[in-house]
Amino acid sequence: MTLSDDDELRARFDALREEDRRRAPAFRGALSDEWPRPLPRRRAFPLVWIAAAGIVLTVGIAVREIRQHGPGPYTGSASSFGGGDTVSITTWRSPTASLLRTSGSEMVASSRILSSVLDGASRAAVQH
Amino acid sequence: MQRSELERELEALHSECWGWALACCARDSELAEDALQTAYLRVLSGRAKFDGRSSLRTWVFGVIRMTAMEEGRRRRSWMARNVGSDATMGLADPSPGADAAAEFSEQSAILIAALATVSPRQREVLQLVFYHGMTIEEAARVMSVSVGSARTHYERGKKALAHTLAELRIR
Repeated sequence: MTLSDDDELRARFDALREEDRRRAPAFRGALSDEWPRPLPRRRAFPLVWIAAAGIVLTVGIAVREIRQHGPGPYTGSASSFGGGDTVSITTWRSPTASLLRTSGSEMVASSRILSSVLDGASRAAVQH
Repeated sequence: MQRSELERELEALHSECWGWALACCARDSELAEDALQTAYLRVLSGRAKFDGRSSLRTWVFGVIRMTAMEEGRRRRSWMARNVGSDATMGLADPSPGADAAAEFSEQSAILIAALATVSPRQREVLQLVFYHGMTIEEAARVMSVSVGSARTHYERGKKALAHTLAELRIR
């Protein structure tokens, strides 16, 4: 960028400024009431309101349907699962509890007897 | 500052303010008139307050710049709502186009066309320095940027503008 470029730019901007000056509106006109040209306002199509009304209506209908036909409030009792009489949670058994039963489970149950025999043997050894 | 005193000052600055408003409004004279009047009303009604930290001209230019940006946004939003997206195409980029240059002398039309090729910030700083004779510091204050940033925009813009003008001259 040389000084002559600066001068050229300055000269071009000077020429533009002169042309703009000739086209400038009157200052007093700028302060008059006639000058402002507000954009013509058109009432916006109330799409937002229609959408909001639609949402409210849909939610209202859904709530009404649920209240009329939906399940009753959850009571928290075991009967709501099996449909039988109300039982305590301590005695309630799962409908699939039988699946947990495996063959040979009796052997596991007899371990208590075996343990007692061993306990007796060990007691006798201590006495001798 | 009294209203009458402000009016006198604004009247003295009016032709410069008009040039700056045109630059801020992509040389759309109708939009520039609206922006300029709104800016004057803000100044005279006291909604924009001069705190004396800069020269009155620098401050008024800052008010015009902000007002022009708001008016431009308002115009684009109005066009989008009422006319459709096609009509807003011309307003999407606030750079002076061929239409703006149509009524000017050939030299000025070339300058307007060349200014359309540089970035908005570069255009602003070049306008403030070469058209209004401001220093880089004053231009930075009007543009609400740091002096370093304004200097960078000025250097790059000047280079780009000289290059484009040279190309346009060759054609």
